[in-house]
Amino acid sequence: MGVVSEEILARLHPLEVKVLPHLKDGILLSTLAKNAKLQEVEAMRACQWLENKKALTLEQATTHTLTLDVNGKKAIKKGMPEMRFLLAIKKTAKTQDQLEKTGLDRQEIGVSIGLLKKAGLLNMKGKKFTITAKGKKLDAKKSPEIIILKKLGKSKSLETLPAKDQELVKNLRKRRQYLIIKEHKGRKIKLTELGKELAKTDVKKLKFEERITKEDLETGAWKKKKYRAYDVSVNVPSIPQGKLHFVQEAIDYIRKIWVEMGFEEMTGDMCQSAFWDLDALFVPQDHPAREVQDTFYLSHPEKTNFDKIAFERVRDVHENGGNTGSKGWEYDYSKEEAEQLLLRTHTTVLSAQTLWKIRNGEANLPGKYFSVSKVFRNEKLDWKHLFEFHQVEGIVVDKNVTFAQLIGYLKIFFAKMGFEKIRLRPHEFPYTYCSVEVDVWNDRKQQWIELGGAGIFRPEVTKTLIGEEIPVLAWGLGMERIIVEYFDIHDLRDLYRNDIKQLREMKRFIKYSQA
Amino acid sequence: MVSIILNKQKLLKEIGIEQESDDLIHQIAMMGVEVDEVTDDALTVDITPDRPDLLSQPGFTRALSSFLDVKTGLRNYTVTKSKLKVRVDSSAKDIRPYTACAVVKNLKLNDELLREIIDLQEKLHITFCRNRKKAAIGVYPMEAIKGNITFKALPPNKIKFRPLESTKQMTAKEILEKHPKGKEFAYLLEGLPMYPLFVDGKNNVLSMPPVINSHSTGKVTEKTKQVFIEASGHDFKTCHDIIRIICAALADMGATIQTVDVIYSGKPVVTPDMSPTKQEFYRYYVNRRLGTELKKEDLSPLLAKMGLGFQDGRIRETHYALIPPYRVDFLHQIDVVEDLAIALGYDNIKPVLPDVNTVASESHTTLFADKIRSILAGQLMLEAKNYHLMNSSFQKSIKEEDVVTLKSSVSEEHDSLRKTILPGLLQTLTRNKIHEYPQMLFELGRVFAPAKNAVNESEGLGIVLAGETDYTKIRQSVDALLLSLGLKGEYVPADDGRFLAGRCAHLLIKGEEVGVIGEVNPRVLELSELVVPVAAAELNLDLLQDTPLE
Repeated sequence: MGVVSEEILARLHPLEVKVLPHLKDGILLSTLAKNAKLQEVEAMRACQWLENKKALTLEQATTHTLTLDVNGKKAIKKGMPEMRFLLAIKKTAKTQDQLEKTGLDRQEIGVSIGLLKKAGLLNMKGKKFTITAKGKKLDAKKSPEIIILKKLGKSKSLETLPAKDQELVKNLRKRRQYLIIKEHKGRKIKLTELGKELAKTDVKKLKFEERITKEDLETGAWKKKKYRAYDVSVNVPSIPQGKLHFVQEAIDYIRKIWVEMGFEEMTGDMCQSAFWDLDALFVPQDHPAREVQDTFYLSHPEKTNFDKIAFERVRDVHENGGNTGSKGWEYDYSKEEAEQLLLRTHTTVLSAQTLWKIRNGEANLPGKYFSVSKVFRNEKLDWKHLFEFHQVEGIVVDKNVTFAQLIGYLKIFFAKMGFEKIRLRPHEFPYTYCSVEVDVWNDRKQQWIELGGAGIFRPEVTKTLIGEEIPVLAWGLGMERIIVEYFDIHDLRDLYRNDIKQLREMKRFIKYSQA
Repeated sequence: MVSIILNKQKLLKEIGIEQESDDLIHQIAMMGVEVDEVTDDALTVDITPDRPDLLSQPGFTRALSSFLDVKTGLRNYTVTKSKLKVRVDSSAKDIRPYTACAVVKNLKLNDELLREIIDLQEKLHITFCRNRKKAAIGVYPMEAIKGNITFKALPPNKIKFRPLESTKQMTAKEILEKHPKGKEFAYLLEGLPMYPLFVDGKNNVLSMPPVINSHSTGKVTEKTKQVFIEASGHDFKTCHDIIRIICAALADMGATIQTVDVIYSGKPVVTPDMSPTKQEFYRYYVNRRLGTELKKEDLSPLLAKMGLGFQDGRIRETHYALIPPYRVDFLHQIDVVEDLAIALGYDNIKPVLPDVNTVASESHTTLFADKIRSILAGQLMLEAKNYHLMNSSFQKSIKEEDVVTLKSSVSEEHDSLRKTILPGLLQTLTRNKIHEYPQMLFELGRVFAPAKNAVNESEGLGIVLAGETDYTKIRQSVDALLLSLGLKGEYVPADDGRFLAGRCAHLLIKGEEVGVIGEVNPRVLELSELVVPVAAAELNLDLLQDTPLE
């Protein structure tokens, strides 16, 4: 079989096998499809695979379809006008007027005169037209134009006509309103040597099985069968997947870090009183961060209430330091201000409530607590701001904890998140001392990136809420900014776009702890 | 935080450094000041609200030169007594009860120094004075003031003077309605029966705080050698702190500070008091909080680095930090601890591995949610995460009435809290119209309902199946979910406008309603601009979780 090997035949797809007997050099893809009784897309796929096998190349080809126009249709019914002209003068010569009475119109007469004269079929005698001897011999009823027009009765492809007919069509195209021609961009097949050989294959002798069937296995028939070889490199359609949101995967990983270190998870309300969110954390009531442009206050419902004992203690520490040894902020504390409902501005509110639970014996001391949950800021949504985002919150409550340990916890956490180099810069929060901003080194950007705040709760917070001055290590880190680098996301809004394609294709959050 | 622009060359000269370096920028950061931008001439830095003393070139230079060991230790400010008296009239008591004042002499001003003073006043107004709400500052050339000063309050219709930058006399009402500064700060005087005024011995108006100075008193110029400074407001400490911060900055520029007798009900209070205050602290407390082993002799040099003084106490391990008059952030000995830590350098504190042993536990809510997630992902659904905030009119249009609303949101699209999960998921489907169907999504999260003086928060679960879908499909999903949870549901016909009538059911578990499932009402689909059928479920996870297993 020359260049055609068994190996190539084994790799033929059923569709390829179907087109094989119909392959001809220069054949149009559409024709091939029709001949092989396939959909055009199927033939296309078969040809692409054959192209991969170097059996053929697909080339651009322009094709035309022909349909009859008004004069074409008329000619089929009545005959070509020049032939009708000839028939009319065959017996007796006629003048123009006489001719018009036979049913030819002026225009038809005009065209016919030109054509007939040129062919030497017509003479003029005075005002009368007479037929020549050559004309008399011609069988006017069997004009080749009519035959081709009848062939074109329904639309037909120009390229499939025999060369002789194409010549006639070429002439008819020059005449007014006989044919309508439409152009199509298509494909044409050019066979290689291998392709020409392949086309000779007797497909009936090809016996490659498509599938391993249950029967083959049951009867052992598979032992005698040959199975088609697949093109294993070809792309296959994707399958639908069920998946967690990629941000959720990151949240789960972060939660695991704290759980591994023995932290208990805190949960709580997102709608909080200003009292718990801010006052209990010793944020003075006129602190700029409390303004409406930074905080979401609720309008319905507007107010809430809270524990009376907690209220009195917090009021005192604001006004004069209470029993904490502090001077306090020295102003008149407002209950109305405290009663306002807001969307929590930080999860540190959960930490404050946990301290109060410790006082009431509802939480453990010593204790380590964490949460990874949403906080809210009244910001306009843009590429670097979200109005709700996750905070990684943690506290360690124990008589012996130190600033050195706070640094230790932060180092471990960031190492586990893949940030080896971190820097702690002194900063200020109303509720902590040794307050720091945590920067991590971004190798790609070659700069420090600010990822959150930390510190040790001030005595004004701890003594007021726990009842004893126990140091509490605390941090509140912005989660989204920690994880965007991993997902290669540069616009924070893309984290919550919920585009199905993105959700399906996003890589999962896989990190291996380094610490 | 507020940023200030420093003259870089002047700063470098004073700290004896020729060229700034990465190390200097790092040192500034380690002092607690973030450097925003460095150019050839300027250094832009962010100042935290607890350090108003750093809001001026001299204030910042003072702190940095201590921190870099160029000029360390407590600064002493000598003050002399001026003859000026400021009487606080009883009429001011309920309007604007306090003022603290000073006289500053021997000013050697030039264009730049003058701008520094104005900048400091402005930055203090924005930050420490809470945009003049808490207190306001006035600076006047001394030569325009005749005799002693009275601080009082007058009914608005008795007030008439020519405000700064105006061509004619105006009444108080006109000032608040027409003058640019008047319009800006009118709200601070709104509703008061009387407005506060500083007047001199000839009853000439000096200013109407916190709004505007008088034009006749004039502005401080490069030629001004002596000024009168006042801060007035609602508490004395704030006023006095402001005056001390400004006086310290001016003294650092080479001026002389003089005190003023401020007379309250006949009793004089001498301001400013530029002497240091004492903050007692214990060495063992410092070491326990920081995890350090500082000895007594370590303390004095560390405090000096922060511009503080040191004094030993009589009792063992008891000491005093001497706090300069411009530092207003010492409330407790913990603040001494923090300054000592900054002086040590956070870089120099060795991280210690934690040794607090506790038993970990995850919240039952998140554990339960995790299970639901894996079950639904196993049903080939994708998890969506929408915002809790959403548009209230969209909620209303699909019959989510009585939702929790926000007082002020910068974005109208997000002015309420979601009452259920489904509206967000429908919007997710709308945004995904370009992608092929079927689309199967779920979301878990907090939902909110208003109550009396509270918000009821619960955990919700929403599922949407879009494309080739119907009641059977969503029912199969929910049944499979319940099966995995070891629960058995009962479905009773329900009437819910969000769903197509006759194809909607309430899900009951042990007789308690925990959710609703059905085919989404075409009316709702139309509102969401969806042209595919959607079957959906909304379950209350808290109720589901509380149901005891079979």
